[in-house]
Amino acid sequence: MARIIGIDLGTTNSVAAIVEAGVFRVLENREGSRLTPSVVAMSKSNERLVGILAKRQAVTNPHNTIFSVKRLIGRRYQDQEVQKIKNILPYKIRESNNGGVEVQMGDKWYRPEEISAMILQKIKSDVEEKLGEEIKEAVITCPAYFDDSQRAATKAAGEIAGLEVKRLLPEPTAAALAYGLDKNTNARILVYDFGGGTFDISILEVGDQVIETKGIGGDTFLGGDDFDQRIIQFLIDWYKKEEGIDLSKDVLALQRLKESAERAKQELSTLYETEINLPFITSSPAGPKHLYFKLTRSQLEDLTRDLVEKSIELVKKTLKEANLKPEDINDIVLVGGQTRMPLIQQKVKELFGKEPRKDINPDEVVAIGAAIQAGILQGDVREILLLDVVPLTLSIETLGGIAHPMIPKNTPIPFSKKEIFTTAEDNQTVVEVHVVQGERPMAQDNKTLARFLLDGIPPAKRGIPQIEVTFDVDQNGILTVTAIDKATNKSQSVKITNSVNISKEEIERLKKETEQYAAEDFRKRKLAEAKNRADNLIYQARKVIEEYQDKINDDLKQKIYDKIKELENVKNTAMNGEEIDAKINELNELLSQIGGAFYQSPNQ
Amino acid sequence: MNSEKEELPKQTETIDELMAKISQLEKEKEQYLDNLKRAKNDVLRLQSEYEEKLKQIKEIANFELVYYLLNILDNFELAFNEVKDDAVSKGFYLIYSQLKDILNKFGVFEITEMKKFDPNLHEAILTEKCSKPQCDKSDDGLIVEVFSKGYVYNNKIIRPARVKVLSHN
Repeated sequence: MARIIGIDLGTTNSVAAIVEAGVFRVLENREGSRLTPSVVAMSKSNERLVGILAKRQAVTNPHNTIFSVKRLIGRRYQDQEVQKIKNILPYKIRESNNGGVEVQMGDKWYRPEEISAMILQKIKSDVEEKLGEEIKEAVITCPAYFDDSQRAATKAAGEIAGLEVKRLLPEPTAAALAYGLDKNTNARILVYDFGGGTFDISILEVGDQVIETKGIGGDTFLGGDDFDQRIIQFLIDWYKKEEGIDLSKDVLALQRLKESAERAKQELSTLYETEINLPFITSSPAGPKHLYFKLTRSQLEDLTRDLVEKSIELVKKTLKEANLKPEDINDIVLVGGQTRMPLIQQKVKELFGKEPRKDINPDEVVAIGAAIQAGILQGDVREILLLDVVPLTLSIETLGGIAHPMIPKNTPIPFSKKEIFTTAEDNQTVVEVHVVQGERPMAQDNKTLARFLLDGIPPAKRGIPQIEVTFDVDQNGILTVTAIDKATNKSQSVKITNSVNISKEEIERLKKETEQYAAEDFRKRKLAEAKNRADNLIYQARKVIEEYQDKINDDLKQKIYDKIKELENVKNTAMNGEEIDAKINELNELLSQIGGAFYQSPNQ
Repeated sequence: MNSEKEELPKQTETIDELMAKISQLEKEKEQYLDNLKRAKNDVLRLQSEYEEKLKQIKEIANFELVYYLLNILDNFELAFNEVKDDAVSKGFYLIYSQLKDILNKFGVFEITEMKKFDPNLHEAILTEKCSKPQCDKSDDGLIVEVFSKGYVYNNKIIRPARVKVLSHN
């Protein structure tokens, strides 16, 4: 079946993504970038340019370079929004015969959907080139506040571009889908979308099979670009004060400042301080001038705090309009590059009292959601993937009763895993293979699936024999566990048929149990590990004393024996790992004196 | 033995049923085979994509480094516009050449076609009205000033040249 792509058709940039074998992937365009500027131009040589090429020539050709067409699509010419921006846009806009909008590019007038179609067409052909197959269908996103006419126009844009629009997906819904929040029935989600030029808030409610929009808000003229502008203005003012030179008059200086400001803003999302270093920024009669400024995160926050506060006020307003309180929201999703700013994340967290979702690249999360919706439509879905997985971790019991995971839960089947184990004691000729199922760290707390013995291992020091254990789950969920002694090739195996078919209730019960006993389990595991360490050290200590009988003086020898005894006692009685570790350290200290003793009495 | 014989369904029915079953199974087999082939193809494709990706990752990793290094080249050039021709500046010029040489060796080259504006190679920062007495259409799009040079890295534009362009009207 042909593939369906997901497209985030943005005001400033557009992004395309697909789902492949259950995994999403954002696709680069022909120029090697994951973002395609939503800009179209008719060049002076009558060539149609789309994306970065159109953007690069914009200043030479402002009347024929169309950007922000999303602000016009599906609107009536008399709409307030159109009237508001028509004077800012450098290209010509007029009322069409039916009261809609038309823009001029070259000698022709185009409807906004025709311009959007050109952007979609480029995305389509870039994706086709990348994947080497024809693309005919797409899921395209649009803002939640788009009305029927705007939606119809966006859909038409897709059709003009030769794409059957399988679904028009609201952007916040796409973001929620990307985080898999569509499964939490009755949950309320707030999507905080701070893009380059617009700020959108949406409140979603997840119902049975549907996601409903419960409220929308925001500001169509507030965006990340405002933050850049604040930094640039601050630096211009600062430089004027320091050097008496107005950089805003110098186009090249301004260009360099703009780039540095953008970079500084990005860097301050992860760093506390960054430098803006622009040598030879301008020149004065006295000679060349440089700009060097150390911008801190807190300075940036002071410069832009009101913008962040404004966005938070808008969130509160939107909540109020929807008759909701912050505590009514179960999940907050951050979308748009500006949300990388730590102050924004902090303010959102303060308002809602919980951590917002921000793990997926906020520039790409909408396109990813669209791709996931496309994946569901074409049947290449997560549900299918989930059917064929190991529902609970399959482990083998190792020294000290620890459950050592061989196949972690949710591993797709068929699957097979091999690992080498060894013996715990000298001259051990039999090993017991204990197969358990569950998430708890101690074998005894999990469900026993099988137990068998592999005997006939040739006697050897502990740690020498190699026992290869294989866990193999076939496509029917049948688990075969095999243990082979590598020295003799002697093997033993068992088939377990009920490792995959576990009822949902049973899985839920086990999950609860795992959570309930998490702290206790952690203690037990630490204790078991410490006991293993103690055993090991005691074994080593005895070996060392045996080996160097004559070289160690009796006093030290006695001390070590005493300490071994103490450690053995603690090992058998301790309730937590720390007690044992303390004694281990003491014994280690004594053992290190053996080496010291050798060096103190050379050649005697 | 007799009783077993009696339990057998009528032969005509059995054949029909079996035929239906066979065609059903054949259909299923086809589907499974198809799925298997697809899965195998996916693995093959992923393998080659993985190798391609590794190559790309190497390039991308260098891409960012090279991109930032270009700023240093720019700044050297800005400096040379200002300084007099003396031994010290000559020394700095040699350092600049050294850096450029290294970048060349790693596949970074300056864009040299700088006559007429081409969005594939250049980014227009500013335009200038043609002030010549006989300005004609062919002057339109001529590059009159280069603010910063453009560079190609592994046959891809790593940064377009930033230029001032002449406009006819």
